Amino acid sequence: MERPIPDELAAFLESGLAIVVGTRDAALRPDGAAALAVRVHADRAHVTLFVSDASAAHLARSLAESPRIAVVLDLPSTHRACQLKGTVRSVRPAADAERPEIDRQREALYRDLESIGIPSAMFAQWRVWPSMALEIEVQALYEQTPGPGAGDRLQGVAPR
Amino acid sequence: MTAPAPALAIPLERLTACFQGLIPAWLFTCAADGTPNAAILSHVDYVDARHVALSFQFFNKSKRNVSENPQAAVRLVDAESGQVYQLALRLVRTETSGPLFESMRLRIEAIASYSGLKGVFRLLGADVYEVLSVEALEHEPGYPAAVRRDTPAEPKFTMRAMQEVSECLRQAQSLDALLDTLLETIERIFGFGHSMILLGADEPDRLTLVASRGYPEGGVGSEVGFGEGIVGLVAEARRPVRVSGMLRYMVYADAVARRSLAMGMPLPTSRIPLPGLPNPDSQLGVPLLARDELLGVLCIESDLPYRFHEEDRANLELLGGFVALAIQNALLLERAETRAGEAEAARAIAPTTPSTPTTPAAPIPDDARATRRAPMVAEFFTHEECVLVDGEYLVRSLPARILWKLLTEHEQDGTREFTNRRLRLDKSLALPPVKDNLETRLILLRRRLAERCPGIQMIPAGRGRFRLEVTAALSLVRRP
Repeated sequence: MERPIPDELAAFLESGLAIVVGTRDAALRPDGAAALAVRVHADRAHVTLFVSDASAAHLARSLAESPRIAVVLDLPSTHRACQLKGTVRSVRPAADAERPEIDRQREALYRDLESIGIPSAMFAQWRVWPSMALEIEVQALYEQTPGPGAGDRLQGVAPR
Repeated sequence: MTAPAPALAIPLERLTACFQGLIPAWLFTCAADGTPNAAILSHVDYVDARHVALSFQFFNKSKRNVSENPQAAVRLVDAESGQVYQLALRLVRTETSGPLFESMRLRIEAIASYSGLKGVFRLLGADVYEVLSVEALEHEPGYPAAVRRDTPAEPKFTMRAMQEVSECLRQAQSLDALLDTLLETIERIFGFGHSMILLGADEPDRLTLVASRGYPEGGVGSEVGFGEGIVGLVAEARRPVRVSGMLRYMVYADAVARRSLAMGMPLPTSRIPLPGLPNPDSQLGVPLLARDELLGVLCIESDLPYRFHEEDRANLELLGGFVALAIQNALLLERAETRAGEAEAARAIAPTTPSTPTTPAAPIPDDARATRRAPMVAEFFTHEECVLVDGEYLVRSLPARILWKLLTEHEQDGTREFTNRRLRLDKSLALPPVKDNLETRLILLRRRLAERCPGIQMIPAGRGRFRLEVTAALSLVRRP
């Protein structure tokens, strides 16, 4: 990526956000699924995205035809959000050692949702484990906070 | 000729709870160059068995994508069962007018106005998509446990219930009683415990609250301009507006606000805030239209996320029609009876003039109680036409002129008995020549005093008559 993910943005991405990924098949038919957590690599140009194995199976339909992926990360209480565009380089089962980080991010998300009146009991049945890990090379970052500026390319700086 | 599209595996009608807007929907699109995109959606609207509509508010990436490549997918959560559905869509057209557009526009503007974002947060178009397939996603159980706690109440507007309401309205003896009866009945029969009625204010394009139920602050006298909030939108459009999932919209709107210009909307101090739930999650407002005249707005709200059904909207609109006629009839009747009653009284108690007090001038009983209350100061601000009591805003405009008239007469010669007719003939009040609203202004003033000023009360004393009771030592100050 021309501009690596800045530190502040990396911290935001890992802070426990609502995550949804978009994919498409060879006929450009869009598809998507919810994701669980994200880790930004030290090179600031790759991320690991965790999805439940069932969601991964759903995504496999389109990923088999195109590795291109969009990842939207949104903090529900403020809707501060950004979108990563990238390419899935590999898919593997998540390791046990990665589970605490997934759980930490989920817990933080539930607390944020509770702050806007959505009880965490709502997510009791959300299946988190076993998970798959998608290794993604990030090509671009976009502002996604709703409003007039949504869709602006982030110039290597943290979104407002 | 094209063959009719095969039926959807899951009919859209089964997804009603997905269209309530409680849980955010997600939209997936893809650019012509093959770059996928995902975005949060403010709402998905059901159009018909094969179509849904998405709001188009900003020229964003999703919008650009579907104009290049009309294929899309949307992910919805059924707020009642927690089931997640994915719909494959194809954009067929964008509507910028018509009933679908209007109903989406009003809902969005209600939120915009509530958040001070009018103009920024607005509907540019209703994108209508053909639904190609509906898939239930078993692998994403969604959010079932807690949402079920708020399953919507069954629609309650049965014909029988409507008859009961209409019976209650028929029995109301005056407009004043009719207003309270209506809100009481709505709670008793339908269970909607937070409601308010606003009627035309002194200025055109404004409404004043005359009755409310279920709020700690009654808010009588608070005003709303046409286009402001759900009530103002209903008045402006003369159509019902229903909003569910307000909280979620508000969070969304706040995000837009932060991204947009800071738009300060300072409220003048001489305004009474409209009562309301601190966090209403469902609101439903209907216009009170009688003989094509907008008399006001009836608004009910709930802190449950999707309390009001689409059927509730239609039925409350019907009820609004009854209520409007009942209010109009009550007004006409009161005016007619006031005139007839006054004419008789004038013949009986001759010779008398309209300005002659009907009670002795000597201050009597009420002043005996005056010592029990702390002395009060009432001020009339001539330029602003408003009355403050002990420094607190009470009323403005015509109700303020009326109150000042009553208080000065009471101070000068101890007048306590007043009639609507005498006020109507009083040139100093500068009532509009036709449709003077005097009855509703008096109701408003009486209720406002009851709410905020126990030391000064207007006690109804038969049709078209009332008694002023001042139970505190009162000094009057007229300001420029």
